[in-house]
Amino acid sequence: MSDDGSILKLLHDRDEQAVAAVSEKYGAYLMKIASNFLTDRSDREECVNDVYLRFWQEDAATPPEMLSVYLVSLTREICIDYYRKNHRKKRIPSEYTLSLSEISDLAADEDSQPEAQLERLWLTGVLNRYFRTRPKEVRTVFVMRYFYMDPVSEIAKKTGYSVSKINTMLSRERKRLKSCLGQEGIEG
Amino acid sequence: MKKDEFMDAMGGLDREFLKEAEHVRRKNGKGRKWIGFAGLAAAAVLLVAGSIFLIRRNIISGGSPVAETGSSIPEDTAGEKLTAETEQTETKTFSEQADQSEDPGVTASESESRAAESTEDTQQAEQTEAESGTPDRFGYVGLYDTGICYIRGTEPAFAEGISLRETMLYPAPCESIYEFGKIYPGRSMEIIRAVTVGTYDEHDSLTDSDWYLVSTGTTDEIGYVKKEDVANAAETFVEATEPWQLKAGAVYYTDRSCSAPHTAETVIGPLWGSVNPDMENQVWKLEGVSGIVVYIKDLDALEMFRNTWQPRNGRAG
Repeated sequence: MSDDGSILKLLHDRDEQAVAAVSEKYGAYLMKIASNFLTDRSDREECVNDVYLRFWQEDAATPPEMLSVYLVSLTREICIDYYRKNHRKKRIPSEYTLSLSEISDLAADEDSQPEAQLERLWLTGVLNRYFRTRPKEVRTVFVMRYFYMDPVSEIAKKTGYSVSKINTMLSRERKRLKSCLGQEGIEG
Repeated sequence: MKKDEFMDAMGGLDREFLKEAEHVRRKNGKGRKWIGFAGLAAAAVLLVAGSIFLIRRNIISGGSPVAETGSSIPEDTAGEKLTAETEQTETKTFSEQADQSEDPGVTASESESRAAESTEDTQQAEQTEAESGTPDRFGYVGLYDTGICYIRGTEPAFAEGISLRETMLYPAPCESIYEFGKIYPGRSMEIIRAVTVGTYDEHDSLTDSDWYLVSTGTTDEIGYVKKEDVANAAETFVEATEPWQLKAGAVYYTDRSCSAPHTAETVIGPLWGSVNPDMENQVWKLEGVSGIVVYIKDLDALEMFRNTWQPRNGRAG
């Protein structure tokens, strides 16, 4: 199996083997990530294929610093877009759906407006500043839940904490974050 | 801020944070698998050692070890024992699991995560159950603003507009809910949280509800809790005194209560929002909850529950 450096070299050389190598090394992992957002296997496959396409279209001159993180971020973004596009009306059970329900006290339900892009960038900045002040373990649990959409049980398994502790951590963190956002003038 | 905006903003998090999470997601998962294998190996060793011990004991008491070991425990009795043990495991309540979860040790968290995540385990458990003769009697009760409804499969009936008033409480075999994944009836609250019902619009209508039925993991009683109080911040429950404090193993009522089946083994979970057990204070934290799902394992209890429960708010008739 190729290492990341070799894969990026293939990409740089515009060798189509780069996609095959990514698929071989990260395909299953990306499908697992996608499964947290989408329940239908064919939907997941479509999204992961889009990830490969976007990867192939990536500017080889500025390769991602960490390939796995880059691919996961891409997968997340594509899956969320797909989810929104296809499941706007219907409530489909997935970890992403559950995550959305959990942040009800943090953010509102309504669809966002396109002109809010700048605000989102600003919001990302606020989030990054906030999480830099938080203990690493809390931050990691929050990221696992609301970035990767990992099930709580899986987070518990991987962190060694109990499910109840994870739930408590997340609950407290949401409250704390809400308070922080409120101070920044951001209301849910 | 909208939910979509929040999720999009999360997507732009500092890559360092993602690396940290990646590290945990990959590294610890592997480590724990090995612990799992070690546990299995240890269990196997214990099993062999136990067998040897039994055989040796029979040898000491005289006679053919193989024949006597085989005949010392009648097959039927052994079968009953197995069934009893299976049932005991099957009916482990959530609070018992929560008690275990106080210990962050490997066994407890392994047990919890195992209960919640492995569909293979679910299949195995169902198989074991079938083999052991335990009846396949599971039911999920969804509580709506107008009464009782049921959740079955990935497309709940009420999503199609069926009147909840007319909806019978329906025993849903676990297979039908299996598609939600992470289903392990009676063993984890996570299974309830995996249940999703209706559409966004229907969820919205939930927020206007007045009363909800609440039970806890170990109780044999079921009662009502007013929605506004359920939805209050967790601290409300921690600090509150009866009847609003929800303690594990107890249930509190508002002005009307019902006598629930004493055989019911129930687990609660939210339709929306989250319920977090606060083991330190032995209370359930209910946050943003607009509905409760009660899990009742016993079909007879389910029937009794259906017969005894009466909607609190006149709308259900």
